[in-house]
Amino acid sequence: MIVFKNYLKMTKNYIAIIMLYSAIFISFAVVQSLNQKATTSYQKEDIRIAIIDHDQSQLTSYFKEYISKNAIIENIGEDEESLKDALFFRQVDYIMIIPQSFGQDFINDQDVQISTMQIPDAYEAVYGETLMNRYLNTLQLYLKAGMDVSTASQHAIKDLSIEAVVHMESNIENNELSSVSSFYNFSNYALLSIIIVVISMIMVSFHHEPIQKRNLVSPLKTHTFQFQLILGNMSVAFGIWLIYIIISFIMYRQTMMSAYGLLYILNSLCLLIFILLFAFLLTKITDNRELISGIANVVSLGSSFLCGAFVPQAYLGQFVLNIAHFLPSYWFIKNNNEIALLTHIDYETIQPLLMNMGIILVFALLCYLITLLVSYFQRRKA
Amino acid sequence: MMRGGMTLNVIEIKNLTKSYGNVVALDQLSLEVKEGEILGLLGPNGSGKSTCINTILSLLKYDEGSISIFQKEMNPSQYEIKSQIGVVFQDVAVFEELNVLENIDYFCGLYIKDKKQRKQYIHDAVELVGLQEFLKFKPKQLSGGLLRRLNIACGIAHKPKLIFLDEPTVAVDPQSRHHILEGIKELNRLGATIVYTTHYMEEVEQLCHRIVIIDKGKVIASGTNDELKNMITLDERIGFTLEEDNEKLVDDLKKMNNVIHVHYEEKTIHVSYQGKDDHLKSLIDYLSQNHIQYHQLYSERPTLNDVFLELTGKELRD
Repeated sequence: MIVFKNYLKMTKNYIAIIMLYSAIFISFAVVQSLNQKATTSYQKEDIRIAIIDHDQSQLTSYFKEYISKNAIIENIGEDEESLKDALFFRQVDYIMIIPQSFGQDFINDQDVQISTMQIPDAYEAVYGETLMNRYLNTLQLYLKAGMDVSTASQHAIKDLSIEAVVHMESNIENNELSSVSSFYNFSNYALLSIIIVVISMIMVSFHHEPIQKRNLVSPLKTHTFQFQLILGNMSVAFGIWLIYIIISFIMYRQTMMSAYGLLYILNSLCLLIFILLFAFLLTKITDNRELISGIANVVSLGSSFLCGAFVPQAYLGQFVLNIAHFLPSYWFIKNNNEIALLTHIDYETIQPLLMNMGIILVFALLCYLITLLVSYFQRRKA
Repeated sequence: MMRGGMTLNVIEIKNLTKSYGNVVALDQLSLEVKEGEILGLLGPNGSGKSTCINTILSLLKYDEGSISIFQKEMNPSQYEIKSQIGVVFQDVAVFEELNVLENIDYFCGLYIKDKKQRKQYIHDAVELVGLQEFLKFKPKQLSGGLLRRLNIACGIAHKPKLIFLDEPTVAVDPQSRHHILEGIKELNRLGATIVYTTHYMEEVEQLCHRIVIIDKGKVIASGTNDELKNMITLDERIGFTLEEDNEKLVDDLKKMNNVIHVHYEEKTIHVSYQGKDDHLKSLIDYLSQNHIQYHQLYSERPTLNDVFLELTGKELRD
């Protein structure tokens, strides 16, 4: 097993690269994990609203009562300058200006409107508008039912105060699944970069013509040599992959010890097979180390950006996603995201995931076939 | 090994032909390498030396002819024969990722499985090429000469019976060259048969028992150093520099007995003679009698380059 042992010895030269990428990867995973935790504990936030009431009717009185229960009412000046200053200095997030005789017109079902002023593109404004519309729509229903303003307003306030209590049915916290998905999505970059660089560089050394000639004139049989070389490739690729799997077990033990974890591992294994065969193909095409390094960077970074490893797929444009369909990383990341959305696991729910894994393996097969084709033409040329 | 007083042929090549499309690289080439000898394979760049070696080693297919090594027909699956061969290629063949010791260990390990034996062999190879102080160095940290020495150690560490050295001293400093040549002599003393290709004539003259000159894929001459030099008409070349131009002298020299060629350039004259007479004395007497002033007089025997020049009409080292 001299070739295999030699392969492993050569891998020692790339430990620094493996460590560097792994350090970046772990830092990212930890930051991502902390972010997920911070954003999953939801808390209702009161926005600051100013109501300029030119009507002062019973209806607007109840309306202000409802708003005050769901937001902080701020008193500001009524002139235009003061209103603009209040928004500019973030004294208020949303201003409602109720016109004269609004209450009476509303009861009479006339076309009336509350003027609003808001900070452009602020989510608080959307929340303020929702509060206002929700109340007025509900009130209108009760008024149309024939109730007086007082009764209808009380019903509306009561209805809108009802809150639903949500229980998570899954025994794994949703935020952890999301973190594991992010972890595995980002592993697309790390695994592609490391495995392509390490395997390709070692293979380039073995394929270097003078070394190849020395191996050929030795008494080591060609198939024994090839077998040991493939064993070396697989061991190193599997070893690097295993490091990341172990890290995922350390960081997300609960998820990884469940069926979800198995799905993540299976999905990642499919990607590993693709990367391995892609690295083979690369070394068949070129023996230029700089070029291989460049291709490894372009492939790992490019596929990670295009396929949603760094930016969620939901935020990517349709054009980008259409291109991404032609990359195995897209199906890998899609699977990771879909695993996180599974409420339960049975054959029906994992069928689409298996299909996606199959697509990744088809990409791997394609690489293998191209490698055979390139080898055939290279042999013919020689 | 002697059988019935005859030295065995370690390599026998008969009518070997190899073409690359329309270009004939080896043209009906036949040669023999006898056990225990150092055979110099001499020829200019592109003459077919490396093709010949690659074909012998089954790295290249050939069109016609036959190759046998150790009395067996050579082919890519003759692993038994391969186990007794060591090759040092012209291009350095070492792993950049491994240090000196690891490189020798790997290439020796392709032949020797026993770890203890391998360790001893590696030690011997390191001593032979003088790399004891550089065992932990990576190839990139070695000078050109040391790298060549490592290349040789990787090729011969398994103590092969037959060694091919394909221009092992290209771009090597004089100190390393001396070390390498001494190492090759030592390998031969230990019993290895060596095929040595180069276009450095002085190395061939210094090392080889027998020389084969190849040009355009054909053997144009073979024999010992002296045998080759006796094949040509040139026997002595005398050179001297005149104090002042003398065109008439050149014409007079051309008319003298045994002179086959006179070359005159910037007051320096080279006279080529055939025959074993005392040409130097005759020339000095002639110059004295005619009161011709000269300096830097020298006489030399023909070189392999002269042999090559006369046989092919071109310089050996192009």
